[in-house]
Amino acid sequence: MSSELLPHTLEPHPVTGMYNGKFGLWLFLASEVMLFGALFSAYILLRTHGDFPSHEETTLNYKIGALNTFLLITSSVTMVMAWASFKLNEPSKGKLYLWLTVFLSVAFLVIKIKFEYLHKIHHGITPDTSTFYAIYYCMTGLHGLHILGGVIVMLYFLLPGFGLWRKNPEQFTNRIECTGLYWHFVDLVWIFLFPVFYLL
Amino acid sequence: MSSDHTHNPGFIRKYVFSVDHKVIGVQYAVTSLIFLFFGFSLMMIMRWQLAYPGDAIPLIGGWLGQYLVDNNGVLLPEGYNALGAMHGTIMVFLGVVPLAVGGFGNYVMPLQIGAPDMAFPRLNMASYWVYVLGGIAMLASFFVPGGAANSGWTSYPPLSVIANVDNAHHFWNGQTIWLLGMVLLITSSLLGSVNFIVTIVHLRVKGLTMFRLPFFVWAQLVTSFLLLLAFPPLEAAGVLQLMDRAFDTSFFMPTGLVVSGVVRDEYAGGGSPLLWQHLFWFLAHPEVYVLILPALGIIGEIIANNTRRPLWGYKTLVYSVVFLGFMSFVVWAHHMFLTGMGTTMSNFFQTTTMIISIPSVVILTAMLLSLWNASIRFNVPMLFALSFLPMFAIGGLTGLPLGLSASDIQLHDTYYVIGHFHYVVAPGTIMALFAGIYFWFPKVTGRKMSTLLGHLHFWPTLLFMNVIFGPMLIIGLRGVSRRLWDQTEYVLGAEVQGWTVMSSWGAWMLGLSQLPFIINFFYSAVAGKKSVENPWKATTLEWAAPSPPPHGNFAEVPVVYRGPYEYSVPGAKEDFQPQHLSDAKLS
Amino acid sequence: MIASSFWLPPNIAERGSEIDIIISYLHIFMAVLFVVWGVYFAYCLVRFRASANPTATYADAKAKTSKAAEVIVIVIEAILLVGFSIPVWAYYRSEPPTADKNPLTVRVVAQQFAWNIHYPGPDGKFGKTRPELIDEALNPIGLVDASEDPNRADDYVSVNIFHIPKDRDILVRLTSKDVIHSFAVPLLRVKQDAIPGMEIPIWFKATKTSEETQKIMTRAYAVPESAAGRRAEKFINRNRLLITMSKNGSVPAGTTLTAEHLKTLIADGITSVDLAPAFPVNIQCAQLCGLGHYRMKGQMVIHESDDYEAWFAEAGVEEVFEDDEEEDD
Repeated sequence: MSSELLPHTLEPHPVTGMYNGKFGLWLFLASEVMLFGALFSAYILLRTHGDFPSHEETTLNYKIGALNTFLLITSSVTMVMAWASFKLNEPSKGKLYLWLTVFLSVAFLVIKIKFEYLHKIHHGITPDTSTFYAIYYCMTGLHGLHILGGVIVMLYFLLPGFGLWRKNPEQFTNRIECTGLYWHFVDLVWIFLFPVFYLL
Repeated sequence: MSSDHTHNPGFIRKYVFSVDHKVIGVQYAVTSLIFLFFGFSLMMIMRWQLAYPGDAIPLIGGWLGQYLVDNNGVLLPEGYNALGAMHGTIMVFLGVVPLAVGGFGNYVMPLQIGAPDMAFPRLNMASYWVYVLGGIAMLASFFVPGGAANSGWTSYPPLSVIANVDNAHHFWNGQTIWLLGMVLLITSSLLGSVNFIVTIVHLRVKGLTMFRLPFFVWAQLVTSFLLLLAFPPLEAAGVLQLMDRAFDTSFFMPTGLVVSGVVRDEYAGGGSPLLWQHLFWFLAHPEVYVLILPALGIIGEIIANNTRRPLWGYKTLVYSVVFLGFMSFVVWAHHMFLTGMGTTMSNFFQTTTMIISIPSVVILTAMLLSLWNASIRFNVPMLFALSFLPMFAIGGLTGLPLGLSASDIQLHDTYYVIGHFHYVVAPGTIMALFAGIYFWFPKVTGRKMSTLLGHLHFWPTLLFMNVIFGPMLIIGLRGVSRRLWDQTEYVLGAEVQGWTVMSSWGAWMLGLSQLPFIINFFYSAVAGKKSVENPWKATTLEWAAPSPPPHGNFAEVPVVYRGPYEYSVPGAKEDFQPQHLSDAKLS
Repeated sequence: MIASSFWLPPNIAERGSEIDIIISYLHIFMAVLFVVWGVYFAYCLVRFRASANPTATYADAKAKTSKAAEVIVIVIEAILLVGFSIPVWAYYRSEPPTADKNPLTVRVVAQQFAWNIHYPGPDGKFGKTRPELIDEALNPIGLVDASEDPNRADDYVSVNIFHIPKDRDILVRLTSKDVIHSFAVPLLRVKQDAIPGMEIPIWFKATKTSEETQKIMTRAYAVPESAAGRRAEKFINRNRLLITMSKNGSVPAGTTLTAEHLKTLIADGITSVDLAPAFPVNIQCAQLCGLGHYRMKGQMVIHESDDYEAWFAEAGVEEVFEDDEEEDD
C-alpha cells in the first residue's frame, strides 16, 4: 500500500483539523508527557521521602545550564523559521535555518557532555553518588537522547531525505512541521529540567 | 493469489516485511498464539512441582537444563520462580495483548471502518518487528548464565535489582534482558497505539460516525489510549531499574541494605522500593483493561450477530467502556494496600475500586439483556462468547474481596488473587479470543473451521479452565501464599494439597484439549470448506469485503448508512441490514 | 460459624472475625448475584434459542428490573465499603493499642529467608542496631554492644520462633534487612509487607494459646490397613507436620507419625488417630523474596500469660541467639 492512497495523508481531517502525521505526533507527545511526567514524579518522591541531598550539597553550575537553555530556546526559534521558509517556498533559506538548528543542538550536546558529564565524572561524581545525581543523569541523559534523535532526523531531512522536497514539497513541509513540534516539546522538557536541577 | 497484480512486491515484502495490515495482523496472531502455548507450557511444568513437590519431572525433566532443574530432574526453587515470572510476562505481554490488539485489532479494525489500511503502514510493520525482537529477548534470557528473570512478572525491587547478578555480567543476565525486552515491547505497543488512534479517528469512511462504530472498534480505541498513556511510566520505571542494576544507582534501594550478611554499600541508598510499585501498577492496572476491553469488543460483535438483534444499550456500553478506561488510571494502589498505606489513601483507592466495578456490572448486564427476545444461534464462536459471560462474572466478582482493603488483608498475595485474575484473563479473555478466531477465520482464510472439532475444543476447555482456577479460590481462602515452590511446608497448605493436585491435572488436561483446536486451525486454513463473503449474515463492514480481502481491502470505498447492529429490523426483508447497503438497495 | 463454610482457616485473633464477616458476606452477596444472573442466563439460552424463537425482537427490552438490580448492587457495595471495610481497616491501620493496655512491643526483622524476632526485654526499650554489625550466625540484626547502649543488655533475639502471650495486645514493628517480605499469619488474620528502609507497625491480640488452637485443628485420620504401599506412604508423607493428640495403643501423645509408628498402630489394631499440627500457628512469607520464599516459615508460640513470663525469664537470662537448625530445613 503506497501511503499516497490513504486519506488525510496531506489534507486535514475535518474533526481534528490535522493531517495523519500531525495527529499521530501529538499522540506521541502525549505519551512523552507521561514518560517525563513519571520521571518528574519519581524525582518528587525521592526528594520528599529519602536521603536526598540539599541544593547546597549539589555542584551543578547554573551558568552552564543557563547557556544551554539559551541555545535550546534559540534553536526553537530557528526551527520555526525553517518551517516558515519551506512553507513560503524558500527552500534554501529553510535549509539554512535547519542547519542552524542542528548546529545549536550539537553545541548543546557538546557543552552538556564535555563541560558537565565528563567534568563531573572526572571529579568522581557519577550516577551512584546519590539519588540526586542518579535522577539528574537519568533525566538529562534521556533528554539528551531526545535531542540526539531530533538531530538525526533533521540531518536526514537535510541530506538523503531532501529529495522529497522536489517530489512533494507539501509533504516535506509537513514533516518539518512535525519535527518542529517534537523539537518544541524537547525544549519544553528542558525548561522544566533546568530549574528543577540547577536552581531549586 | 494471482500473479497479474499491477505491483508485485515479491515474497519477502509480501509476507515477511509486509506493510499490509492484514498480513501484519496474521503475523501478530500466529506469533502470539505460539507464545501463548509456550507460556502455558511453562505453567504445566510448574504444576508438576506444585502437585508432586520434590518429584522429578517426568519425560522432560532431564532436558530442562541446569538453571531450571537439578541433576535428578527436580524443579529447583529458583527455576520455579523463573518459570513463574516468565509465564506471567509471556502470557500478558507476548500472548494476550499482541493477539487481542496486534492480531484482531490490526486485522479487523481497519476493515470495520472501511479503511484501505492503517494510517501509518510502515509504522505498523515496525511495531510488529519490535515486538518480535522483544519476544526473542525474553526467550534468549532462558539461556544466559543464571537463567531467566526470577523475581516475578512484577519485578519488585530490591529483589529484582539484586537478582541474577552472581555472574560478572551487568547486561547479559536474565533480569536485565527482561527489562530490555520490556522496553522493546512497550515501544512496540506505543507505536501501535498511535497508529490505532489516528486510524480510528481519521480513516472512517463516509457515514461512519463515532456512534455508528462497531463496539469492537470502540474497545480498541479505548485500549489504545490506555496503552498510549499507561505504558510510558513503566518504561520510565524500567530505565530506572536498569540504572540500579547496571550503574548501582539507588532509585529503589533504601539506605542500609544487608543481603546474606553483606552490607550492600555499593548502593548509596536513599531510594524507595515503593516508587517502583507505584510506577509499575500505574501501568499494570490499566493493563488489566487492555487485556479485557478487546475481549469485550469481540464478545459484543459475536453476541449481536448470533442473537440476531441489536446489542442492548449500545450507547450505554460505549460510555461504560470509556468510563472504565478513565477510572483504570485511578485504582492502581489497590494492589498496594499492604505496603503500609494509611487510611486516607486506602479509603480513596478502595472507593475508586468499588466505583470501577459499576461500569463492569453495567457492561455485563447489557450483554445479558441482549439475550432477551433474541433468536440465539449456537455456533462455535457463540458458544465461546456465551461462556465468557459467566466466567468474566466470576472473575469480576472475586475482585470485590480483594478491592476492599479489609478483606484484602486476609486474601492479599494468596492463591485467591491468582484464581481471581486468571478467571478474568484465562476463562475470560482467552475464551473471547478463541471466539474471535472462530468468528473471523472465514474472513481471513476464506475457509470455515470444522464445527465438530470446534465442539471438541470448546467443552473440555470450558470444563478444565474451571478445574484449574476454581480450586485456587479455595486454596486462597484457606490462606496459602502464592508463589510457593512447595505449599505442603505449611499446615494450611498441606490441608488443601488435594485441591492443588486437582488444579494441576486440570492444567494438563486443558493442554490436551487444545489439540483439536491446533488441528482445526491448520487443517481448515488449507482444506476447510470454502466460505462465502458473509457467512454469518453479519452487518458490519468487514463482511462487505471479499474473503480473504485483497490488498487495499475494498473494491470500491464503501459508504455507511446506518448503525452497526441493525438485525431483525421490523418490516425488513432479511433479518440483517449491512451498514454499507442503502435503504434503496435493501428494499 | 459462617466462616468455616468458606474454607477460611480457624480464627484465633480478637478482631479477626470482623474480616471473616466481610469475606463471608461478600461471598454470599457474590453467590446470590451469580445465581440470579445464571438463572436468567440459562432461561434466555433455552427460551430464546433460534428454534424456539425464530424471530428476534428489534427493540431493547425494558430494563426496569436490571436497573433496580444495578442499584441494589451499588447500594450493597457501598454498605460493605462504608459499613465494614473502612472501619475494620481503620482498626488495623490507625488504632494501635494504647499505652494503658500495656501492649507487648516487638520488632520483627525479616530477611532472606528467616524472621528475626527482637524483644526489648523488661526495660521495654530496644537496643540500637547497625547494619555493619550484622553477623548471620551470631548477631542477625546487628545489635550494638551493651557497653554502647545499655538498653541492649536485656534484649533478646529469637529466630523464626515468635513467642507471645495470649490475651495481650501485641504491637509488632515490622521491617526487613534486604528485600520485601510479607509477614502473614492466616490464623491471626494478619498480613503486612515488610519493606527495607521502612518500619511499619501492626497489632493483634491472640485469644487462644497454641495448645487450644491445636485442639481446634485436631482431625481424625483413618489409619491405612497396610503399613506398606502407596496409601501408607501418602499417609505418612501428608501427616509429617502433625502430631498425635492422645495415646494410641503404644504410640504416645505428641508423636510425629513415622513408618515405624504406622506399623505399631496397625499391630495395635488402631483404625483412626486424632492428629493436630505440631506447630499450629505458622508465619508465612506472602511476598516473593527469592529462591527460599517457600521455606521462609516461622512459628508463633502462644502461651498463657504466666507461661510467657516464665519462658521469657528463662530465655532472656541465657542470652543466646537461638539458632534453630531444625526449623531451617
